[in-house]
Amino acid sequence: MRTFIYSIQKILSAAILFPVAAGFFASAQTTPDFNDYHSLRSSGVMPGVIDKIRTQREENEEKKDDRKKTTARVENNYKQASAYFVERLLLNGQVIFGDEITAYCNRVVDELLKDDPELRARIYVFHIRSSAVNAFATGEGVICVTTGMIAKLPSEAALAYVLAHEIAHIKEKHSLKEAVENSKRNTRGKNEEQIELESSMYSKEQELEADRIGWDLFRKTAYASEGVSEVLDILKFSETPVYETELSSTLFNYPGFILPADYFPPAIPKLAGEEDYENDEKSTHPNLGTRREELEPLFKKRSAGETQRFLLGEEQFDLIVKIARYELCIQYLKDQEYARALYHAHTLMADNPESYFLKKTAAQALLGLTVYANSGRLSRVLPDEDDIQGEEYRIAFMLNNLEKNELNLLALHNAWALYKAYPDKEQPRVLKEVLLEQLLKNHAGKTNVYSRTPKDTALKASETQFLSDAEKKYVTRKEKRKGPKGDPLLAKYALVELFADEDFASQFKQTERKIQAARTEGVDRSELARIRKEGHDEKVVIVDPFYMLIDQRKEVSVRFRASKERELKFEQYIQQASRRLDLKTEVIDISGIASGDPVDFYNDFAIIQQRLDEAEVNRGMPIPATDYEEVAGLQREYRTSYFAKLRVLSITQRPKARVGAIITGIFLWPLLPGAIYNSVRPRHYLSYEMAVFDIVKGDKCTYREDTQRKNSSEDYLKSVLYDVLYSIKHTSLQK
Amino acid sequence: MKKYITGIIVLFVLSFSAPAQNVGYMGRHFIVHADYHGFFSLLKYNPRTESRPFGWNSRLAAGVEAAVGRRISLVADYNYFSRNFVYSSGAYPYPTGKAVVRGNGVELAVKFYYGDNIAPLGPWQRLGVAVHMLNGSFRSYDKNTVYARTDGPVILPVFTYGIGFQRIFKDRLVFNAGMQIGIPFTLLNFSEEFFGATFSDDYAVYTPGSSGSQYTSSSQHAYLKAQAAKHLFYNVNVGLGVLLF
Repeated sequence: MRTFIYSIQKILSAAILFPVAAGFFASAQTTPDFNDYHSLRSSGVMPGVIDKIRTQREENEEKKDDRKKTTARVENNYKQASAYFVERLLLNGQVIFGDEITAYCNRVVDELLKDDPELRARIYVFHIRSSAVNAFATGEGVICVTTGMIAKLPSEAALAYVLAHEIAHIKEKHSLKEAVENSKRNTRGKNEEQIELESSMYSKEQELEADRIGWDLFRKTAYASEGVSEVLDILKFSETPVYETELSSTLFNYPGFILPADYFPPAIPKLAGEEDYENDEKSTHPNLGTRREELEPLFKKRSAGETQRFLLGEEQFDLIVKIARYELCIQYLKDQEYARALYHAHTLMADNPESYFLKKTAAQALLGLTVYANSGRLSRVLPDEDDIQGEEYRIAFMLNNLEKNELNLLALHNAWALYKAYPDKEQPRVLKEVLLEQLLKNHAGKTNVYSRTPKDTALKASETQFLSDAEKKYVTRKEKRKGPKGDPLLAKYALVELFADEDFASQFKQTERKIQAARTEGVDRSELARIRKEGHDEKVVIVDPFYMLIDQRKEVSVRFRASKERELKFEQYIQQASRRLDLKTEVIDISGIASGDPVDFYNDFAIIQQRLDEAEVNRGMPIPATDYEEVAGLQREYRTSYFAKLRVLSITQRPKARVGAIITGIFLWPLLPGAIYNSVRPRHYLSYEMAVFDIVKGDKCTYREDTQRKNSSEDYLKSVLYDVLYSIKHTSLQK
Repeated sequence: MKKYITGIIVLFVLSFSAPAQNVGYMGRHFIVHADYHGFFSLLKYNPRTESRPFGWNSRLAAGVEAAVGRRISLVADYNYFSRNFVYSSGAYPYPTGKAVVRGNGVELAVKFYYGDNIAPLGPWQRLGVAVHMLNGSFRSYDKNTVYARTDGPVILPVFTYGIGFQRIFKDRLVFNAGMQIGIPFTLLNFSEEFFGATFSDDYAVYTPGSSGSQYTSSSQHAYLKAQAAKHLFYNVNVGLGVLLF
């Protein structure tokens, strides 16, 4: 059940939409400070499309369906569902309103549709925070272009073709047609694979149609045809990093900490990309080879004429691509693609070596890798080196072959250097503190001592006695390992130079004492007992509580209107239960956001939502927020670090006849009414998931999930909510 | 009896000393309620028609319920019922008089809420012990002459088991429904007199009055208990209550 809730959340987080009046965004062009870059934020007011989609949803819900299975009914069902999800997508924190990238995309759409103002008025272009190289369209006229796509674009013409393709989907109502087609398809006697196959075939036909119609739109403009080939090239290399740059191994050397040469590969696999993949049967898109075959004859026929790769200006295009590439650093970190973030940040440093932001990205990436490695979960975030092509392989090879303690030490060196370079910044201070703690908690026992004496001096003093038994074992193990041997004494002497810095030595000692104290004193059991009995006084912010009613007896199982109505009451119940519990709560409710509202509240929500997603994926591991300064600011604003996610699903299923119970009831007649009742009543399930995070530290403070056999009547729902909030109130949130 | 009451008190005290846990509905765990118990009187025999018509048993109950644990609540109920029956003097093979038995009882029960529910909400099962004080009077068939009255209350202890569900509306109003079975302790002793009285017809054989009659105090008590046992054996109940605090 949890997986089900999670998958719904993922669907809702998958994309974001954003409508636009082009003129409005034209004024949003500013050049960010790339040395101290901050993630894009919305500006201005919330766009009109939010109210428009909300109205569409309500109108669709009002329509009475003919019970017969008609196309009109299928269309209405689809529109209801689509409007519901698009409304949520618009407000899930991933969309950025009024930023430079969105404004630019809209201007390109203006260019594409300058002869069709009616269609232009129905198109809304969105920039989605996502590292995936993708763009998509919905039936409501919304087009989403990801940060990953923008970052890889070589020209404005390529962007124009991407948008033209998506406009074609909207113009031809492809998503609606697909829903109708799927409903008509006879699925009787077919397994899931066959159904999926038929569905994907239709989808591929639509994609090829969108290619052709998009081309028709594109060729009427002055954009150069090579934009089309460029798009196909981007898709070919969609899984690879933006840049292919050879990084020097010396980038990861620090005084006293020199990575041995065998930690880097002698050769790297060539970048090949993926084009004519044969098995595209289940894919929604045709393979690139087929698309090229369809498109190339078309644009070869077109005369070059006065076409250009840039109509709005190359400078502006370069700016938005650069923004997207910096934005990708943040996105990779939030998606736990730490190795990619490290590589990407270093490739950007080639042009901007002094950027605090890029250095910070590298430090944060190394910290993420360290924490995952120390918890034994490195494989979750570090791809196998065999799956990587090109220069990125160099980094992946090194990271895969470092010992855990060496990785921790590398990250610590990196963070310490950042901290010394930017002593006034908050994030480097936190990063080095976390890394010191990680080192002393996880690796102080293995080698026991981080030498303060330089290696050469120590070796001269005693060649046989300078290693303790534990260290000898460590060295032996390392020498026996498969793959690169590295330097068995790398860790022991890794901090010699840093110990020379009094500041480091003092902080090292301080952290050591702190950990020692925690180990000897343990937890304050009397305080825990007090909180368990009386509760704590901390404030908890519940972020966008999610509620969905699903009735699997119906053709369209999600009850959209009822879910919305219940979601509103749900918040009242939370507040009521909080009052009864004397629990300080605040609910961040985004359902009330309307077009024309200032974006400030939405911006705060977006930061919190993304931070919660990040912390959730990190499973409460102590990885500080990627947007540390912004998150810390919100901690001050809300006067708490504790933010909670709460999701509830109510599911109704068909009754299940209980023949055995009825037969028993015939003989034991007092039980018969119950047996009959249980055989005819629908089965109800109430499933919930709640997690409280410390958004600054990333700790998961408390977590509960359960699926209970009950309906979602007010009393049951309130009882469950009260119980969930009770557990928050009576659990110590400090870890 | 003493040990049952002691057991319930121990359970009650233990439940308060248990570690902190969510108890009650939205933190409220004390209910005042009134219930109606009723069911077809399947064992009631009408000697006149020599048949078993569907008479109706009724019982009224009122009491309190306190949620004392996550899934447990304690119930204390007062019960009242009244039941008419006919009897024979023994000399004649047909009813010669009418009698009535009235019961006032107190029941202590433990209610267990199941299916992931937190007391006092949701489906429950209950186990309890009730003590009914029975009073009876034996009259002539036209009811004008009272031949005999019980000289003091007749005690009938009963084990009870129930199953049902409870819902709460508007945070305060409690609706309760279920069924209950009551089995007298004495039935388990297989007392011949009582056992026979319970499962034989209502066509009671009892000769009141003068010396040499068949009257005995024990047979009078046995018939009253038997009638009460039939009344309490199986009932369906609905009730309303208020969740106070």
